[in-house]
Amino acid sequence: MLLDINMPVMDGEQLLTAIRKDASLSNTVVIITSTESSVTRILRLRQLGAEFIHKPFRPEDLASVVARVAAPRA
Amino acid sequence: MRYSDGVATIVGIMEGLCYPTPVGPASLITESHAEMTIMLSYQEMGAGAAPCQRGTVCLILSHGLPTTLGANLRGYSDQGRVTLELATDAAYELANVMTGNLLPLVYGKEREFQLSSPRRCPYPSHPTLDACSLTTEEAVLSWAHVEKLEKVEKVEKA
Repeated sequence: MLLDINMPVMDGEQLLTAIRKDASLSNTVVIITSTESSVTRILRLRQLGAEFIHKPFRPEDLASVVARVAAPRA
Repeated sequence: MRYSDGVATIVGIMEGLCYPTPVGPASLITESHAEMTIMLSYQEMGAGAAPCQRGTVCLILSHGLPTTLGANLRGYSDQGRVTLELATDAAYELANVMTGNLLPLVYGKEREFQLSSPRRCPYPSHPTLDACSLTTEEAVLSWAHVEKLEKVEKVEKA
């Protein structure tokens, strides 16, 4: 799932937290693309198991992260 | 925010998003040269010792730039295909990315802010607190910090 942080109604961090609490969705791979710069917040998102890509990014950056998270785990 | 840092940040965004090629710093766009103004607000969130901040910023685009942004967003070579809705969406995204990258220059990287959804607004009547502008090959854009209110209640994380 590609997720932004700044969204109306529910922000990306709230959604990510809800996903992790839902047993049927908790293993969903989440990649957050955002302008967020707060080190504290980015760390919090990573602790919830999300990848983070800072906007603006190059298509190659996204492709690299997708390839990494899609790779079979040893 | 140091003006040169702000301009450098905008240049990086324009290059990163494949928007019009940056040329150099410019003056704040005047009302008569503005085609579209996008406003969004921000509010500090989370715990912290520093005074809480909230405020309003504007992205001002000179004539022709919204259409160029919309064409670049979709990869259209014919700008005649760009609708007002598409041009506005492109400007919204640019306003969001610019604000997210410029607020840390104003307040520092440790602060956490929640941004509102961008929306169109009239040319700002408030004097700007902070601003930076960039000339591109096609037009000019300005980011202006137009209003700041301090010591508001923080938005706590759920």
